[in-house]
Amino acid sequence: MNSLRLFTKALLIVLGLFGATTLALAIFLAWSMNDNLTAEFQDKGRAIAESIAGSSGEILLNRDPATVQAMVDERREGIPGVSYILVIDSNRDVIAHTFVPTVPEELLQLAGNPRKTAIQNVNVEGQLDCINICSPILAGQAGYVHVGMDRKLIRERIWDRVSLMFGLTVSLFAVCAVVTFLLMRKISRPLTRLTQAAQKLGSGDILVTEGSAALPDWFPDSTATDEVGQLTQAFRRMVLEVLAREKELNQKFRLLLDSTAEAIYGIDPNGLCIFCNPACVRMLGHENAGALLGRSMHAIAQHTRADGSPNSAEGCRIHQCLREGKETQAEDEVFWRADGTRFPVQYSCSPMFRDGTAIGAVVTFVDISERKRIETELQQAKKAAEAASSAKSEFLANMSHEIRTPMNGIIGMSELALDTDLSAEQREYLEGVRMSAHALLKLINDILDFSKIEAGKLDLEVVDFELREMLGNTMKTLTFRAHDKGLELAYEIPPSVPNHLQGDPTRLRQVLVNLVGNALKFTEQGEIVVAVEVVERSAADVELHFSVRDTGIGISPDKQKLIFEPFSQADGSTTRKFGGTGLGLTISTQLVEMMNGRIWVESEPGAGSTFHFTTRFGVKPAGSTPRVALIPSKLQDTPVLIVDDNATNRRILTDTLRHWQMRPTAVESGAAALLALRQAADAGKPFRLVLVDAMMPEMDGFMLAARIKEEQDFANVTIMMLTSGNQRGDAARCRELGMAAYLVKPVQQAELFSTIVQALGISFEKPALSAPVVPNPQPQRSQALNILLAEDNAVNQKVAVRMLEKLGHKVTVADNGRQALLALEKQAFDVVLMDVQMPEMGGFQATEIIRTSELQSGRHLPIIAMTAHAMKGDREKCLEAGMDAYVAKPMQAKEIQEAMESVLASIGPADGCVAGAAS
Amino acid sequence: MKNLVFSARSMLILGALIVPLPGDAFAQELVVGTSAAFTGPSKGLGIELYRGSKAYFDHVNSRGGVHGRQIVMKAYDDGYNPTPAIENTIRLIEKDKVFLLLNYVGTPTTTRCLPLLKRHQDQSVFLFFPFTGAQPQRQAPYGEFVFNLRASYYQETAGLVDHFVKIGRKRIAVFYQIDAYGRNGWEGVRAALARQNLRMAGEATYRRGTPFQDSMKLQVDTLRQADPDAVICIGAYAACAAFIRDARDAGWNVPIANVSFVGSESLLALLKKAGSANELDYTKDLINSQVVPSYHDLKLPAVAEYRQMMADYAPAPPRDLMTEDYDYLPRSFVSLEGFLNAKLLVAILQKMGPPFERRRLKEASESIADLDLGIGVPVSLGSNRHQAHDQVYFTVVQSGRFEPLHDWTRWQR
Repeated sequence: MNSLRLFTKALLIVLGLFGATTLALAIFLAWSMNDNLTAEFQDKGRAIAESIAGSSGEILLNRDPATVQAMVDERREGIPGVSYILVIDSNRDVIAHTFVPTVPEELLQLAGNPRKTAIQNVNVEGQLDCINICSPILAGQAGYVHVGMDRKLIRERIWDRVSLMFGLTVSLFAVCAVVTFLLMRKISRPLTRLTQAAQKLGSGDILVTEGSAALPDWFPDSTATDEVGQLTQAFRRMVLEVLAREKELNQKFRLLLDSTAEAIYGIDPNGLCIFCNPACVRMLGHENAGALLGRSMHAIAQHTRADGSPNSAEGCRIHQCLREGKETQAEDEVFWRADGTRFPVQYSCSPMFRDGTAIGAVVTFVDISERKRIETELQQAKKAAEAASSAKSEFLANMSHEIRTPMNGIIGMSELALDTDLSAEQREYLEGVRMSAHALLKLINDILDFSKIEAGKLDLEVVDFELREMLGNTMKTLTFRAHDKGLELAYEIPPSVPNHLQGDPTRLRQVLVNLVGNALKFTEQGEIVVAVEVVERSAADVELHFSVRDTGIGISPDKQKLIFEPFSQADGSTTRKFGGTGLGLTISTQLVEMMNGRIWVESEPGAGSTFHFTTRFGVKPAGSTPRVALIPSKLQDTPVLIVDDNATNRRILTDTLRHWQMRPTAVESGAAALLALRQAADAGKPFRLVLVDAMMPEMDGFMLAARIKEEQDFANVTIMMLTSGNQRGDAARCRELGMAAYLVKPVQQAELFSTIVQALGISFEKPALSAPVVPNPQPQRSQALNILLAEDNAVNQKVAVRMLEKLGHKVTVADNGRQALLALEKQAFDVVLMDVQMPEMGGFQATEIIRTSELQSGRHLPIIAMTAHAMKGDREKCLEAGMDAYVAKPMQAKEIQEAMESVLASIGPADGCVAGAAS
Repeated sequence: MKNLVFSARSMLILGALIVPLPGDAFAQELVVGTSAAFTGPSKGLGIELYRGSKAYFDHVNSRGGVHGRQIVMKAYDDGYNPTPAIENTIRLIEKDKVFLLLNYVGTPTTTRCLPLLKRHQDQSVFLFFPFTGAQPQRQAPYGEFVFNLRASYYQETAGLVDHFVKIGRKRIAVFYQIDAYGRNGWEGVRAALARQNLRMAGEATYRRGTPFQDSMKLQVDTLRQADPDAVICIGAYAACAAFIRDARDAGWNVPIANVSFVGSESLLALLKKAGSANELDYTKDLINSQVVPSYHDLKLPAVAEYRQMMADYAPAPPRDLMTEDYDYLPRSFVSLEGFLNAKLLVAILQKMGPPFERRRLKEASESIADLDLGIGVPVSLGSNRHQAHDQVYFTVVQSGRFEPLHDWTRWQR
């Protein structure tokens, strides 16, 4: 039928052209024929009329109508196109005519021209439509001849010809159309057959039979060599190729299905099985595929749920997949075998589409009984492992306690012993004991930290802290070690770094101590500079970049990665030389990462190393305000001379003073300082303050100070000494030289500021801040407290008692919780230091009893826990038990004093007595 | 009357003395040529005219012929159409070389052939006794080549008009065949009325060859509007019968007259047939003028002869002409006219005698004077008289046949 459509289109076009052409021709033909025939008829009519007129004159005069009529008849009958002939005499009487039944009156009224033949059209409705030719007979004397030439005949003739032409044209066209149709059919019939064959092929009507390479008989073939023939043959070859490929695909598909371990079956939209593989048959426990094909897979394998309730096909996920055409998967269902047993399956169901319509689905499934069993076993193994891990943690905690308890004794006792009168030899031995004990404690702490981190039991605190204070305190503790080795230790915090932060200062301190400690360890001479800067800051938090730069031995590039790994140092030999566990950097790395930062190193062997790390802290808005507004106007534009041989120190001091709007000038030696002082004095702008480094080559700080004091011109200059070391007698020398103050480097900004203000403003006699100024800081004698110490270990009892008594407190000892309770009944205490682990009654239990009794009294006795536990959760446990603070063993005098002060400050003394706060 | 007696007598004597002459076939025969309607609506005229002549020629030939010559009729059919008539005439003259032309039927046919006679006047081709009363063959320029026996249409129509006017029927209309015949009759009526200072009340035409089955209602209506006292038909029997039928069917009882050419028996046969079918008498108030006496008038010797010879010879046209069904009329005005035509021709030929040369025909014919054909009145021909008989007879249908009409008063107004 395609051929006909094509043909019809062509035909319509050609028909249109033919039609237009024919119409044009017909119009032309009609027009020209009308012209010709009219002219011919007129000529003919004229000839007739004139011949009658010419020959009838005498006859008319003789009045012989029959003869005239015979003549008329002859003309009329013999000549086509003559409609009528009328002869009238001069009286308009009719002589001869050819009308039936009568002569129309209209014709008789026609006036003739006596001189010539006249032509006019005559139209009598329903009778005549003629060209009337009127000839006079004997110049009208004898009458007139009227000849009517039939215009109808003209039209008939035209119509005849036009019809004939139309007929011919149409016939010709019909012949052409038939020929064209035959030709086109010859072309299109094979094409149509090809199309039908292609459609059959598409609808899968041609099925490949095993081993047959031939196409069915009906498949179009051609031996012709024309284009259609070639097309047909090409199509055959293509179809054969397609069929061969399909066969191959089928084989592959079959092979795939047969060989795969996964069970696979296909269903049609009604859920009936259309194919399945051997694995499927086997898993479902059937004999062969025949048991499944054409049957509802749902009814076979999914009729019931795992819990025994019937599983409706509507609710089944596979049928949902069929309906919605979406892939689905399940692991929590069961399939049923032929023998009525069931097994857990994991299946996935993928819809099959043809032309966008789901025509079924393919389900692949596996029996996951084994997996389920293994999962169960794994679950059990995990539980066991967790239990074991928990036991290990408990063991670690216990170990910690057990180790720390004697360590506490060793350290405490050796320190107490060192405070007694000892021979030099004894002192040396004891000093060795103390140092070894500290080393051991450090080792233990590292291992415990590492274990906690490894076990994931280390949690960071989030508390408010002041960065500058924290950093200053940390540096201070390290200063002595640095000065012992003759190293400069400086730190630098630009004003842009916010001060009030939120985070875990303890852990930050641990990292810094570790890094600076390493630097101290590997640096023989030079300096160690700690710097902080802001990487990124938002309203809520800040990312800080810390760097610790030393001028030590450096680390070769190939070791730089290695050093962050546990138990490794840059060189195996260094371990022996420098000691240490090698855990420090590992712990630092992990702490930094926990603080959302990273750590890395830049180093060049021989030139020193710089360790960097970044951390993220919350920002407290209150602390971010710089104290610019608080700077006294006196300080403004005060000329200050800085004398230090260390460039870093000079820069830090210069920057700091400049920030305070002073006018610092830095020089690197005593000689330069004297020169600068002289020049300033001569210029009339004398320095009011000189900051002098104590240790300098050639002329040291003390010598410089002496020289300055000698000069009268410099009488008004205030000198402040910055010492790196902790040399005994430095303070005495300072006082002797009349210096305003001396500060131990690294200097905290706040400390420097207040010292300067005091030195310039008021008395030079008293240091602004006692704590930093005192080289070997004595514990501040705050108000003496009445302390109850609950501690079972005799050694530790002694250590604690001595330590507390040295701090000026009065101590009562209880051996356990019960005794502590008894003691509390006898007298009131300001604070209780409670060991957690004690025989008879532990610290927690005792605390609980105390707190319970306090419910009635309304009082609150400060209780500070002492624990050898350094494990995660110790602090929480203590607080949960109602304790107010917690101190880890081995106890340090400073730590315990701080803890007590902090607790008393926040709670207030139990008996109304006020605890003296250092600040 | 003397001439007539003489002629008859000499004819009998001569007939007895006929001796076959030696020579070619032509010499033994006198061939007379005819073109007439043997087919078509007017075939009854041609056939019956031929039969009447044939009966007499058979009679003469059976007695040895004319001066030993057998008279042979050579006939062609023209179907009452001019063109075949002309062709037939040419063939008769040039191919068949007939001795003379006889028994042409119809005005339009005969009139058109007249120029041929003039064309062949050097060969002295004469036409004898055409079956038409038209004027052209009775007057210049062709009258000299034609000899007529019958009265003219002018005479017939004048007779009819005179009788109608006499009985007070002055409004006379004409129904005519629109050709030379019809117009000739029309002119006859017009001229007759003009002589009485009357004008034609109305007229209507029909086309020659119209068959009986055709309707003539248009013509009937046209004429009836003119309200005439009488209608005179100048036509052929088929058309006139149709006109009469349709007039009577329309309830129009006006007297209708026909002239001799109509062929009264043929007309009557059609009207009777139609009348019996329609249970109407179409023959009432019907008047036909004739140019020969009634063949029922047995007092006339010619009628007796005619009847005897028609019965004896049972004449028939050549079979090849009889292509259409036709029942011969036993007797008819037409065959009687044919009989009389033959009788007069034989008389002329007898009188002429050998040598039978065409150029002698004119003189022989014009020498006929007061010849008694047995029709009650003698006939004469002369150089100024090429029509032998002038009498017109009127007939009316009585007892199913045309009988002589003597009393017109029944239509008196």
